[in-house]
Amino acid sequence: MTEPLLQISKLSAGYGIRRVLHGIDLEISRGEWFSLLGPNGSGKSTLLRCVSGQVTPTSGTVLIGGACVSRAPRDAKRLLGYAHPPERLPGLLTGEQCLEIYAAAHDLPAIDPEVLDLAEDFRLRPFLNQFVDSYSLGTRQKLSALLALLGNPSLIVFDEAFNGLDPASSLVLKHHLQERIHSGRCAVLLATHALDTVLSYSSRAALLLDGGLARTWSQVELDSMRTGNPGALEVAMAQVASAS
Amino acid sequence: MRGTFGLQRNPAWLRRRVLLRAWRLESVNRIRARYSSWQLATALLGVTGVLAWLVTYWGPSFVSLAGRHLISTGIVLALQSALLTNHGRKKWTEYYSQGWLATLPLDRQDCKTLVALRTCWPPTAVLIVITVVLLAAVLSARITDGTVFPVAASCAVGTCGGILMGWWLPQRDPAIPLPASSLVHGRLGGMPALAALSGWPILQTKVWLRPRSIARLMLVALGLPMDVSGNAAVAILWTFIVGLYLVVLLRATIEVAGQGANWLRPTPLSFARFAWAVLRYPILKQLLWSGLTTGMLVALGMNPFEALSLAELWLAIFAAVSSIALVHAHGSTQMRLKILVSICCLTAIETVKHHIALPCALVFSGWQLNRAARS
Repeated sequence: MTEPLLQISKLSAGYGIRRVLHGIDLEISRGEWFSLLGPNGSGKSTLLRCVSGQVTPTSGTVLIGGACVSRAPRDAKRLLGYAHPPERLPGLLTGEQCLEIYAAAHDLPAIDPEVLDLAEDFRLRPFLNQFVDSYSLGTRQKLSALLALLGNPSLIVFDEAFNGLDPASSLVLKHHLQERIHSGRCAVLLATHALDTVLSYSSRAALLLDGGLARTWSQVELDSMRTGNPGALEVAMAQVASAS
Repeated sequence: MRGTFGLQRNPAWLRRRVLLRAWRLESVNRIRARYSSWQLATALLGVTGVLAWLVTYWGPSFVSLAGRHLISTGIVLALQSALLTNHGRKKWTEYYSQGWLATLPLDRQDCKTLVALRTCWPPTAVLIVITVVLLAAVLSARITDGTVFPVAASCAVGTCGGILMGWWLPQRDPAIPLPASSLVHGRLGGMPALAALSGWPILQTKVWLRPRSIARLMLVALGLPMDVSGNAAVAILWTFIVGLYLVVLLRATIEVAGQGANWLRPTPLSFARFAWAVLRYPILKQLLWSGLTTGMLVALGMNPFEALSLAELWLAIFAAVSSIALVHAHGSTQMRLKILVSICCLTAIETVKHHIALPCALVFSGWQLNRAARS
């Protein structure tokens, strides 16, 4: 069995005295698309921020490719591609400058041609020489996705990355991610509310409730929902939520 | 309703009260979210200390300089107030026309009143601080030659004139600061670099302090009669604008340190590379323009020893504050407290012993940055 790409064990985190996550255990392997579901305020974004090293856990560990995010952040982050929320992109840089800085931060000799091709597919190229401040929500979201994909990361972390994207671009991005996953180059961790995306693309999913993992769904369970009753995931989520 | 003189029942007043209440709650909550009571008390003590130091150490020489150039002092204050007012008017007009209160059923007049109040508040606060400092100087008998009241009057007239000038001057252009073409390299796929990160603080400064806005004010100011020769007038305005630029550049460096760190934290970029990329252009600009400003202050009649000491103190503050901002890139309360304490300590050190603050600040900054890079 291959070693998991992302290993989270007994993770607890919070902001000040407010505890947001407690006792999270999770493993994701290369070639998996793992979706994280949960109501607003359940801790999805905080979990992703712990994985990307933006929030320091109060206890527990996060390992990416065996490197601890808090003890060996550079080794861990070499394998990580994190898509920032659109409002956190620097408004006073152009899209091109953002790509350049990210590529330099990853010590790349040039911006990945694959990412530039994706920019072309997104119809983003004409916007790349404009300030991010002038971008619409969807355009920012596209740039954020491109930045996350730079440097061929092994673990791609998206926080509601398809919000605001037009359907065509959303489909392009999903297919691109699927292609990367099927070739075994990476794993995707996606926090989302879009159940159709979970059913169509995810290999596993989990429901986060009140800072803890309340339920996980395996590939087989998702497959059966996909072929049988597409509404079953929604019902299952509601049942778990009401039971807790 | 006794004692309210009918204000509580006046519909216009009730509507305006909603906006005033929103303003008050936002301000109070912003302070409460950032600072605890003891931090506020410490900050108050720090500010009082700095003001006391200003009065005792620099007060007499500044008042005598201002007393010799009363109209120029007024004009400098007018320029500053005009900049604050012009910026504030645009900001608050946008806020009340497009923000979360824009859809409330309020009269335009109510919003205009609030825009005016919030716009005039910063220059008025500056005038209040100056007045308090001057009063303290008189009461503590540090200045006795009777120049204080003409200076205070000149500041008051300048501030009021500046507010009017800033209010009626054309508004800054919205949103995009510079034409994109001036920044485009046209080399997508070339060698990536952090050059854009280095240019970010300078660009941020340009956005906050547009040369065009200052040029408009300069034109207005140069049209006014001054009590000094033309050369001295230009020198005074030049010193004011460069001083403003240096302060805004420091603020921009803090801003970029925070925003850049938040944005680049999930990448494997090392702290040392990040810090160098953010700081290298601001360091160069601060050194260059501080040196030139020192020369200009000397040319204006300031004691060279004091002018040099002032420049050293400013560079020391820049070194300490920018390194603190880089280390605490989240803009936390701890960062703000550290900045305040370091400014107070550096000013105290420079007061006690000249030419010591800068080496102290450099050692402190080096130690801090090195520790952050290692961790």
